[in-house]
This record gives sequence, C-alpha cells and structure tokens, in this order.
Amino acid sequence: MTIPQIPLDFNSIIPEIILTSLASLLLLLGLLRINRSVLVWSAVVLILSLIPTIPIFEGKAFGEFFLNDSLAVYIKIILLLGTILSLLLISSSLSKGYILIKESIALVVFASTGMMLLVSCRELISFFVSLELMSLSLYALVAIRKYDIRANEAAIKYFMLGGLSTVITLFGIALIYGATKSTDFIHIIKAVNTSSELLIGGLSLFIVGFCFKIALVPFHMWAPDVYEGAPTSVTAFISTVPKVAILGAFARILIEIFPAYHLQWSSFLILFSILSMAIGNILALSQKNIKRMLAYSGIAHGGYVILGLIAGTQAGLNAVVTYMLVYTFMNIGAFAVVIALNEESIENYKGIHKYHPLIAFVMLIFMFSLTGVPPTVGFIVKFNVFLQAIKAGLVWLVIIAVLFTVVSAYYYLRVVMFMYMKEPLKRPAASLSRDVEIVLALCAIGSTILGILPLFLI
Amino acid sequence: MQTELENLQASTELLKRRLLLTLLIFLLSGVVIVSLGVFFDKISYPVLSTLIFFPVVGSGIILLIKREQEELIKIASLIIAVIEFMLSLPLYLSFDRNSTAMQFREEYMWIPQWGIKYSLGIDGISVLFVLLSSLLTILCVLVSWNEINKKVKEFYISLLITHSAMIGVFMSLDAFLFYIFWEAMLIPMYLIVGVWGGPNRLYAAIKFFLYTFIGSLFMLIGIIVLYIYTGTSDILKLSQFAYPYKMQLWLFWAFLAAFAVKVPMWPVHTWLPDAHTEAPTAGSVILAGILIKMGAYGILRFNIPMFPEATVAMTPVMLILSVIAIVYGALICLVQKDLKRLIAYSSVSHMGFVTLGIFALNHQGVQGGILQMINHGIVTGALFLCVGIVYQRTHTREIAKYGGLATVMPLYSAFFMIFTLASIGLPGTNGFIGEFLILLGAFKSWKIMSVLAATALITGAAYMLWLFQRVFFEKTNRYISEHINEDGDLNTREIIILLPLILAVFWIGFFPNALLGFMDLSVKELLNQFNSVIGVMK
Repeated sequence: MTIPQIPLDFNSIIPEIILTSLASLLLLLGLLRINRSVLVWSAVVLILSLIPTIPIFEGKAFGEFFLNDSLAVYIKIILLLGTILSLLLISSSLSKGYILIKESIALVVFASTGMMLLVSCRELISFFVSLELMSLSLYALVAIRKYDIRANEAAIKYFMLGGLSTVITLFGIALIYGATKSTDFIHIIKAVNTSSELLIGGLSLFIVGFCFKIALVPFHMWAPDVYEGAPTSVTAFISTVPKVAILGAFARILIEIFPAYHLQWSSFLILFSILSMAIGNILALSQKNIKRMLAYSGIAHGGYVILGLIAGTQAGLNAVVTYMLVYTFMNIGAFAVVIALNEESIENYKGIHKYHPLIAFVMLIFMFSLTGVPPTVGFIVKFNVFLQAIKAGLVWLVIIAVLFTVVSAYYYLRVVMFMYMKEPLKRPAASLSRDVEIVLALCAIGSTILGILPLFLI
Repeated sequence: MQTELENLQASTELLKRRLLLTLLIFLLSGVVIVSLGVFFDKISYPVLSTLIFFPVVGSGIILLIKREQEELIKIASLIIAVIEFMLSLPLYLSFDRNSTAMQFREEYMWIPQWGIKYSLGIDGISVLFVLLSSLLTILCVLVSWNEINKKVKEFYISLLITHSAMIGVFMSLDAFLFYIFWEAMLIPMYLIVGVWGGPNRLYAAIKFFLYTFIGSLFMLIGIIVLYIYTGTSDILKLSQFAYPYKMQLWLFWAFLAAFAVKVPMWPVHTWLPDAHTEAPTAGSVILAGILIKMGAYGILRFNIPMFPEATVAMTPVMLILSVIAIVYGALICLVQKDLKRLIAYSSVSHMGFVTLGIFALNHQGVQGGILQMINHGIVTGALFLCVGIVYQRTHTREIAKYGGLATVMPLYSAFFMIFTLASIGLPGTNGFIGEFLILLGAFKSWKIMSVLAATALITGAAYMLWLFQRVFFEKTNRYISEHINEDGDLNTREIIILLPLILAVFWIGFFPNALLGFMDLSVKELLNQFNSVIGVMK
C-alpha cells in the first residue's frame, strides 16, 4: 500500500496558526507581571486585525484536507467577532477578580482556534480533533471560577455529558469509516452513493453528537444548568460561538457530503426541531432566572435555525450561517445586559428603565430581535430560514415554528414588560465597565442597522 | 392674597407664552403651506420617504433633549408633528385625481439577494389615511400635553415612530416592506399601551401584541408562499398573477388572519376593547383612527385583487361575520359601564360596516367602506379625545358616576353632541354618507345583509343617545361637578384639538366629493380588474 504524498501548503491555514501562537503566547506572558487588561486588549486588537485579512487566505491546504472557501471564511468571521465580544465581556469581570483571567483568555482563543479548524476540516479525524480542542477548552472555561460550587457542578455536568456526546460522535465516525473505508471527505462522497445500513447507523450517531453540542431536544439537558452555573461572561461565549462553529461544520457535512441521505437525516432533524421549539419555548415561559430563560430560548432558536438545514439546499445552508451571525449579536448582547446589571433573577429587572434607560432600551432591542419582530435583524434571518423551509415544501413545519414564535413572544416581552412597566423593587447595582459598553453598543447596532440594511446576506 | 395675585400673573404669563407660540406655529405653517403651494411643481424630492423618515429623525432629536426639560420635549414633538402635517399636504394638493396609477413612486433595490425593493407609492385608496394619520398625530401630541407625566421623552418618541410605521404600511408597494412596517408598528404601540396605560394595562398590552403577532405571522407565511410562487414581492405584480383556486383559498385565509385581527372582525375582536380602554388617550386615538384601518386596507390591497375567486367564494362568510360584528358590537354597547369601553365596542360595530361595504364588492360599497374608515377615524378619534379631556378632570370613566355635565361644561357638551350625532350617522354629518353608501352597496348585492345591518343603526342611535343622556343630562353628580370646577370648561388647547375634527365632520358631511373624488377611479380600477377575472372564470 502506498501512502499518498500530501503537499505541504500552509497558506490558507495561517489564521489558525496565528491564533494558536497567540493563545500559547498569552499563556506564557501570563506568567510575567503584565497588566491584565493589556493582555485582553492586545488579544482583541490582534483578532480584530485578523478579521479583514481572513478572505486573503481563501484556498486549500494539505491537498483536500483543509478547505477555506468563501462560506468557511464567512463562518470564521462570525467566530472571530463572537470571540472578540466574549473576550471583552470576560475582561469586564476582570476587575472583580472573579475569574482566572489569563487562563480564560488563552482558553477562549484555543477554543476559537478549534472552531475555526472545525469549519475547514475535510477529513474526519482532524474534524474530531478540532472538535475536542474546542470542547475541552470550553469545559475548562466553565470551571474557571475554581472556588465557585455552582460553576464546578456545571463544569462536571458539562464535561460528563459532553464526553458522552464526543464518544457517540466518535463511534459514528468509526462506523462511517467502516462503511466507506475512508476518513477523507472526497472518498466518502464517492462511497456514499452505495447505500449501506452501516453508514446510516454512523450518520445517525454523528447527528446525535451534533444535536448534543447545539443542545437540541432531547439532548438539551445540560444546557440550562451549565448556562446558569458558569460565570455569565463565559455563558455568553459557550452559548453562542461554539454553536456557530458546530452548526456551520455539521451542516456543511450533512448538506455537502450526505445529500444522498437527505431524507433520512432530515426526518431525524424535523423531529428534533419540533421538539426543541416546543420544549424550549414552553419551558422558557416559567423560568425565573434570566440565564436559564436564555438557555431555553437558545434551545428554541436551535429548533428554528435547523429549519434551514432541513431544507437541505445550499441556500438553506447560507440561511443557517447568516442566522448564526445575527444570533451572535442578539444573544451576546442579551448576556452583556445581564453582566452589566449583575442580576440573574428576572424579578429584579422590574423598573430597570427608571435607573438605566439606555440599558433597558438595548435589552428591548435584543428581546424584540430574539422574538423576530421587524425592523430588528432577528426578523430578517427568521424570514430567511422560513423562506428556505417553505421552498423545500415544509409549510406545515413553518406553521409550527410560527406558532411557537408567538409563544416565545410572551417570555421575551415579559422581560420588556418588567423593565418598562413595573415599579422597581430595588435599585440595581449596575457595573458598567467600558468593555461591556462597547459590547452593548456593537450588538445593539448590529441588531438594528443590519435589520434595516441586511448587507450580511449571502 | 399676595400669592394668589402672583399665581394669576404667572398663569397669564404662561397663557401669553402659549398663545404666542401657537401664533408662531400658525404663522410658520401658513408660510410653509404657501411656499409649498407655489413651489411644489418646481421642486422634486422623495415626498413619501420624507414623510416616513422625518418623524424618525425628529424622534432622534427628541432623544438628545435632556429628560428634565419636559416642556421643551413637548414643544419639539408638536413642531415635528406640525411640520409632518405640512409635509403631507403636497399629497392633498398635487395628487392627480384622474389617474389610477400609483403616484409619488419611489423604487430602490433594497435586498438584492432576494430581489426585494424599497418601493413606495400611493393611490386613491391609501392617500387619505396618510393625511388622516398626520392630522391625528398632531392632536395626539396636544392631548397628551398634561395627561402624560412620566417618561415623557419615550412617550413622544413612541408616538412619532408609530406614526412613521403606520403611514409606511399605507405607502409600501412591496409585500416584504409592507410586513416590516406592519410589524414595526407593534413595538411602540405595545409600549404606549403598556407603559402609559390604565390600571389593567399589562394584560391589555400583551393581549394586543400576541393577537396581532399571531395573525401577522400567518400573513408572513402567505407572503413567503406568494414570493416563492411568483418570484417577486411587488404588490402590483402580485395582483396580476392568476393563482390556482386551492392556493387562493389558503392564502386568502392566511392574509385574512392578519387583517381580521387588526380590523377587528368578530370573533377576534376581543383585544380591541381591552387595548382601547387601557391605552392613554393618544393611544386610543391612534388605535381607533389609523391602526385598525390597516386591516381593512390590507383586505383591499391583498385579498380582493390577488385572490378574486377565493373572495367570491368567501363573500357570504365575510358578510355574515360583518353583520355579526355590527349587531353584536351595537348590542354590547348598550350594557357597557365604562365610557371608553362603550366607544371601543362601537368601533367593532362601525368596522363591521366597513367590511360589509368592502365585501359588497361593488362601487358604492367599497367607496362607502373607505369613507367610513376615514369617518370612523375622525369621529371615534374625536370621541376618545373627548373622553380623555373629561377624564383629565374627573379621573373616572364610569358612566354611572357622571351626570349633568352639560350644566358645568356647556361648550364641551356641544362638541360631544356633534360627535355623537356624527357617530349615529345623522344626515349632514360625515357618518351618514359612509353608512348610506355601504348600505346601498350591500343592498345591491345582498339585500338581507343590508337589512340586518341597518337594524344596528337604530341600536347605534340608542346607545349613543342614552350615553349622552346619562353623562350630560340627568342629575348633576356632586363628585363630578367638584372636579370639573377646578378646571372649568374646555381650555384653548382642547378647543384647538377638537376644532379641526368638527370641521372635518361637516366638511365631509356636506361635501363628500372632496374625499370620494380621491378614491373614485382607484376603486373603479380595483373592481374592474376584479370583475374581469371573475368574468373570465365564469
């Protein structure tokens, strides 16, 4: 057996290399006595400067194993944007000394390196390795506040269940390898046409792992607990950015590699989508903690967004990716408000408008955007996935989604109602640092301007 | 003694300042009207976009004013509303009444990926609503002057943005844009009801939002299906396609879900009494004046031209629903104990007339329906303003607590009487023309429906006159007279608010062609197109 020669071509992987070295450097520099905000800001500036240069690195590396096409570039830009926003949020908890700051910056950067690799991998083993790079960094991030019992509980839960899902994914990969005799996507595409039960089994396990990571019902159990237990700035990160990467990566694989099995995997996903919309939205109604509410709302949004995936078309894939861009703005924005007010109980949001009219207003924008009311951007993307699903002939599924959207309006509006229409219980001790202000401003602008001028559509 | 004198001096000083300000505004408006009249043909600017975005920019300016300077905020929003009205006058002055085409067209590519355009235009059906909305916004600003005293800044911003979104609905010629404006209106309106409303405002606000939202989302599905079927979202192009019958039926109901909630048709009307009752006066006026007209307008713009066969098939159902709304609304009014709730239910009845006229599907009926919408906007808007004015003094809306108001507020009762008569539809007022045309149209196509609806005219007279009797005559209630004496009869501001509406009542009543002339050709065109499709089908 001859081992094929893989051409060494590092050009298109340079952003990932830069990020890896940045993360390692951050760890090393953390040993010295450097002002922590200097560390954060240098990381932010470096990543920020990476964003406009990413399209330059479009291309392939290592033969066909690493593909950086325009869609991957788009997803990577979202990932880096989300990373920057999260870094700023994490640095805002820095003054309070809640968090091991140097490690957490490095872990965030490692995680986003893993995500970027995940999006570009065209080979199952490296796909798995990138997935693990991401997941392990996330587990550690959740436990970053090491003396906090809640955070530790959340981390253990996340680690155990995440480990389980990883194993399932790996088993799926093994079965796919068994069926197709290759881990290379190009060979898999060729082999896919010969249908086999082994492949279907592998694929379904693969999908289970995927659903686990983006917290679709019935694999959602970990999400509310982990989101609640983790430090809020970390929650903002893990509830948003990894979902972008995983949806992007898995959706590409399903749509581009396994179109032949579209019927099989889409019927799985239809079921999960309905369940997620139902359970996510209904359970969110009764939540008293805003982080848990946002966790359930995230589950419900997972249900909406995979409508585009279920459509199984390239346009559907694009709809998924643009949805995730917008979701990044809305969700991180909402969590930034939670950080700014330092309040987790929804009850304490009563009358916020009286003391903090601006924060209340941006929260209003995020809530309406998450509901999907125009002219906020949440509407445009929801319209887009509904459009793709109806194009694929799934009008009934969209009607279900619409009905659950109405349910969701109730709990999002409840926050608005509390902020604007109730008398305050107590004066919230808001701690607005510059970093949070920047995040709030960026997210609010993203959620409104893009809604009026949807320039981000692909 | 000394302080009293000082107070008197201070109040005369204030009055002087206000009068000067009013004079200034009138002068300014006069100059603007004249200059616009002279120069309009020479200048060309995007009239409709200016109308939509001027209040948005204006509310941006209000946002910059300090929270404490409430007087300045009010004056600024008044000036913005007045200028907005001035800007809308070109629509009246240079609207070509002899053309059926869309006028003041604007078209830009907006979302090239989907081929969706930012496309505006108005025809005879929509032009009147834009004018009415601009007029009512001024009155809303004025009537809220003393009523709203918390979060003043946010209130006026919400008011102006609601106005922008509402006129956007009437102007947009792209289904997607239409939907954006349709929904964008929800956010500020939700806040207006929920933040500045009465004791039960939270319930009313969320009910209003959820009812409207669920209806709208069905329309959204309808729009997507139309878009996928035809590949365009241009309303004018969409009305030229012939859709399969079954699809028409589904789409008819999808769109109707949104419009019926807004109108509101029986049995989805229940949000209206709550929202009306709890909203602040300005909110009620906007709701009654413009917002619920969007539903009937939508039926005229989407359902009838796009799904003619389904319309014909569904006409009996629609007519029955309309008649139920008319009769049921009127009967419910008889047992109401709350002033605002009574007027709200009378809205259900009056809007039933509108849908009756529209689904009569002949020239008189549709014309009467549109005119009735304008009339209802003026008269019910005025009645809500009147209730708001008296509520300011007495802080109660319970009819039983009133009585003998005519002796303490003679001027007010004269105004109220005129609006009452207009609401009943006395000849000489605008209400008569609209209802007469509707009944005529309905009689032409469905005699029985017309007869049934006509019975509600009697009930209508009964509940309105009875209301008038209970509030203004009978024995004077001590509680009421005490409260009234503090403020006395109508003040200048309130007379200024009601005067234009009185003028409109008689102007339309004696000279309906002023408005009918606008819509005549557009309605003809709509029905011609409709009849030709139906003719081909037969």
